[in-house]
Amino acid sequence: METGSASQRKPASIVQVQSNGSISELHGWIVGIPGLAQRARRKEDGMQYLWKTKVKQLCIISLTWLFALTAISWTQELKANPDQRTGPAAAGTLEDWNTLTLSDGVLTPEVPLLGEKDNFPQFTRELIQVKWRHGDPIDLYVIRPKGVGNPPVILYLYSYPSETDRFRDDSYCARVTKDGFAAIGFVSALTGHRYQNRPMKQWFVSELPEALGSSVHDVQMILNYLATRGDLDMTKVGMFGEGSGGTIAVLSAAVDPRIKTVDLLDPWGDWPDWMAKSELIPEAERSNYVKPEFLKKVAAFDPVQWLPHLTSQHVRIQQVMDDSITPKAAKERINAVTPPDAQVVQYDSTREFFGAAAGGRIFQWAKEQLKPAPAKAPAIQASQKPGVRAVESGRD
Amino acid sequence: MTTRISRTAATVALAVIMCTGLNSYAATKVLFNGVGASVLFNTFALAAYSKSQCGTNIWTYKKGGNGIDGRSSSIPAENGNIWIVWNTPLTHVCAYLSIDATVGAQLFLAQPKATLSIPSSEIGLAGENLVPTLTDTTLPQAVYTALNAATFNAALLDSRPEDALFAENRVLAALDPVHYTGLGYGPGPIGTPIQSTFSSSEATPVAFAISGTDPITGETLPGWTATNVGADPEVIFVNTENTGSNGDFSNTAAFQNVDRFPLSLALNGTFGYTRDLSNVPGLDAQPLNVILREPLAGAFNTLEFSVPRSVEVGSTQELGVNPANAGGNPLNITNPGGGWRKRALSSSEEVSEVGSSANGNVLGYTYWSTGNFASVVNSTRYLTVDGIDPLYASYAGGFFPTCTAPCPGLVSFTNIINGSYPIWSVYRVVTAHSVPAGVAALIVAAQTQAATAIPDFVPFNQLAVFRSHYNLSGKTASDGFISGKPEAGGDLGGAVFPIQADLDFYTDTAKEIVGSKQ
Repeated sequence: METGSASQRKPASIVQVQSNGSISELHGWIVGIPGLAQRARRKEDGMQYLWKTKVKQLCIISLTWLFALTAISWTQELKANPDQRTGPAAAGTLEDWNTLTLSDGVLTPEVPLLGEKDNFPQFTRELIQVKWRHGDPIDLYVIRPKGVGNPPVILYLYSYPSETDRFRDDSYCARVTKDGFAAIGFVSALTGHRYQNRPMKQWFVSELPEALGSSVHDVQMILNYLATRGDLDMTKVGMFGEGSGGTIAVLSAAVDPRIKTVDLLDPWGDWPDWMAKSELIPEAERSNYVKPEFLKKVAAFDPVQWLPHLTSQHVRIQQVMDDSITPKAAKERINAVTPPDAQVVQYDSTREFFGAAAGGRIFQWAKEQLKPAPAKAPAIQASQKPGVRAVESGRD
Repeated sequence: MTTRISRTAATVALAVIMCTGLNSYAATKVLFNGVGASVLFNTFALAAYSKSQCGTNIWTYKKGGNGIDGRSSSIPAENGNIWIVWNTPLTHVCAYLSIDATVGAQLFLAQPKATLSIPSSEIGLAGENLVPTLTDTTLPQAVYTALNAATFNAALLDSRPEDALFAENRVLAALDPVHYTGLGYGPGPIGTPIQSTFSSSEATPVAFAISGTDPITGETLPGWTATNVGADPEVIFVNTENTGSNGDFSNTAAFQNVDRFPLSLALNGTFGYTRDLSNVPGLDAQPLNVILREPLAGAFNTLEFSVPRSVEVGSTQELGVNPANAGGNPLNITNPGGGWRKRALSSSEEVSEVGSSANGNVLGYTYWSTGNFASVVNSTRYLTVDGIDPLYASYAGGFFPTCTAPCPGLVSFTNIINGSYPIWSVYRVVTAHSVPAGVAALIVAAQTQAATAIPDFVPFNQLAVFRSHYNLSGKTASDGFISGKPEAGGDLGGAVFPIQADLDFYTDTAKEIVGSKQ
């Protein structure tokens, strides 16, 4: 008799007789040793044999059916209501991105985890994981100047796409903490380490309401956490926002009065112009984002709607006119709605901006608003510098 | 039975024939088929000439190959010097056709891509030993068969493709005698050949694109990659064989340096005397002769945008040159002092003409390499520019060093590495988006060779500085040091900054140092 032929293969248990006479079992296909399997099976107790074959098979079949039915039911539900795939229900919270002000209890923070603490002569840097949504832990950098009890706080939020690398750059940390300020660094939703377990077609702009709405909530939750630490002056809070980080800074300051100073660099906004012309948008996708339904969905997150409300904060908007992410028309529209006391500085080119902002000078303005130097020299008007136009001059 | 045996025999025979045929066809693989800047001719030949690269058999020939741009029968073949290197089993072969960098970009980026053409009459001919230190053999049939009509798989440029396209379009545009935004060798897409004053060589400007569709065929361009190889200074050098007057360039006490403004005025024909370049008083009035390269050459454009057409100077080497006028093409225009401006069409022609005493007190320029100046070390010297030496930390008479390979440390490139010498550029190799393995290996070999054997350029990873990139040819500038932001835009004549400054500025502002020009 040939052994191991295809006709004799059958699902069963591989039973191995050990040297001590006991029997161990492996699941799989018996190939070529049916006689040995049958002899071993005869030694087993009748009930044990029944359990190992019939009942177990029945359980497996039942479980398979249960999983299949659940999957079918879930798929049908998602088809009926596709928004649930990535919406609040998916996150397991009651969070509503369209409501920028975060009500109590909507997000429940877990205990923050200290990942790392570094000591440097000028500052300390803590990497803390904070979390208030399922599957969305946030790497939060708390960088404190040495020798200052409760320093004023400035949040730093850079544009999509970005990572947290800069917050691990020691010279950067020295610049942002210079003059006794704490710096808080993180990235927005759907950005850097916070972009995971998503279909590739979903990205920051395609999911703009979620990206902006949840990031505005994050800012409020981060401020809540910072207030619990007791080692920061939460009466002096500023926020530096670049690109989409600037947009989030505007929206956050509009709903959270703890933010006293807002320093914006090329904030995104004026969605109809931005979506139509921004170089960030792949041409193949652009038509999706200029549709009225999409623009209607994101209208509530347009800084153009919110900037006029920032009347109680110090606001500066810096715009680099050769920046291709935010088109010129959008920049002009944003300018047109800035609050009366806001300072708007336009640079004709990145080259001119470099002259004004390099070496950490970009961070000085926000610091001066939060803690003005005691003997402050008269500020040079931007318009006096070659190539720099001061569109409006505010408190300076 | 007989039929079965016959069928079996026939099948076996066919299989043998097919296998034999396939083996023959696949026997010689083209690892590298490059085209481009003449200044990289020697460097890449020396890198290719190795058992671990292309092999240890070389054949070189002056004007021995042609680049065929098949987009139109009106496009003339681009003739240039060629080297071919292969291994003894004839399984690997590499080749390089030396022409203008911009023409190299045109041939590689043309869609469909251009091909190499080698006259069959060269099979079996002895080589001409064009690469210093290497000895040629004859060209085998198998090597010819593998290479002839092969598509170029790399373009070797001394600039970004964006800069090359800008140069091409400027050459083809109608002459703008005020701002020189157009040089008048058009109209495109196939322009007027730019001619050498000294030989029958010429280079024809032909339109191409770096993205979108080809301007001649309308075919869609595939993606490409530009790999940085290394940085090299362009050297200003003069003939020192004329003696008898203190206004001759042989007066080494008077002619050691040229500042950027006097240099620009010499190149654009404004200055007529050699003494106009010196700060030593009392020199005789000797006519100043200048040999320019053609505006399709990388050497022309690197110098053009670093000095005469810099933001600070705002002129051009082509000042007063109208290709349609007498003396315009080939260039032969006299200056107020009785000197002239003429044009050479390759690095080797430039060097040999500046090295010829028959051309009087003549000034020229080309990229540094040990091979480029090997033949004129006794007849020429180089000058510092703005007081900065291109080869050493400090000036020691301007004598070109000679290399008996290996010669690591022959030159230090101190002022290229620190960015203070004003005229330098980064060599790039443009390939398909996915760099072919043979090309990638050759780039690494060239860099290793430059670092350890023949210092013809500074390997890119040794540079501490970069040139600020700027928006050009439809590409938004990116300096290339930020993860996720590939290098893009032009950088010829870009202002020089430390790389760390770019990283720091990006860390603070999420913006790169772009748009700055010197």
